[in-house]
Amino acid sequence: MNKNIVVVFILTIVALAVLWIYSFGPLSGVGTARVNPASLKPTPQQNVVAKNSVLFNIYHNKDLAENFYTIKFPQTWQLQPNSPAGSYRFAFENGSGATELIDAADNTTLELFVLSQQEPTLKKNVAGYNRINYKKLSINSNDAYQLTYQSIVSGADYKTVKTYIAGLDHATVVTLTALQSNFTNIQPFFTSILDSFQWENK
Amino acid sequence: MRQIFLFISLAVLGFGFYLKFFYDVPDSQIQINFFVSWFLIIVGIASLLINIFWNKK
Repeated sequence: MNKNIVVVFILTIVALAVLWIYSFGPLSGVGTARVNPASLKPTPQQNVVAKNSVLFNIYHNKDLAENFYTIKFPQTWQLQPNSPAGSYRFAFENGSGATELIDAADNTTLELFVLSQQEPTLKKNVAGYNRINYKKLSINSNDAYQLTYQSIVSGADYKTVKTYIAGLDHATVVTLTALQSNFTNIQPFFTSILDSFQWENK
Repeated sequence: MRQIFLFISLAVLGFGFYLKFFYDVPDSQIQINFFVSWFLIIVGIASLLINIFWNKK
């Protein structure tokens, strides 16, 4: 057999073995997105919310290329550790806040994705899911789709505002939840958080 | 026969490049897309090289 063909064959086997190790073996995950330490270094900023002066932390998320964004959260909210790349999770008294990046397929629109895939999943997984409102809006010139719904956690009624903000590559989902009885008080904070969202590379 | 082999090699290589650079990969399938696309590219290039060396003595 031609010597060159044998060499090509052997090199191919070696390349496929390396590929296998890189994809599924000990080196798998080397190329996956990781949390950039810069994403976890917020800048404090004083803001006025409902006539009160409140200290916010501005986060610049730089985890996923093409999907850098800025968002602020009240400094009193506790950032939960070990959030996946591109996301933040916060807890506060009787509520929570989160932001994450999601990838809607190119063969659909974000609105269709929200209504045909995300909401049915919420209906299935969230106890006592009850949609209160759905609306399209614009957040700093970005198209956004907002679901407001009620749910029941440990017997208590919660109200959640889930906002999907379109981006050039991924979309961002900002989920803000509070006890139903406290929702009116916390709503100005939610509005302030949503209004602060900006894509950095747009 | 050799032309058919060449056509299949180019098709495999082309499909590999398509999956690598043009296919919109859902987040949950990034790893499998990485493997399959590079697998097809490696096999495609190897097939082309074998095709080139086939008649050379």
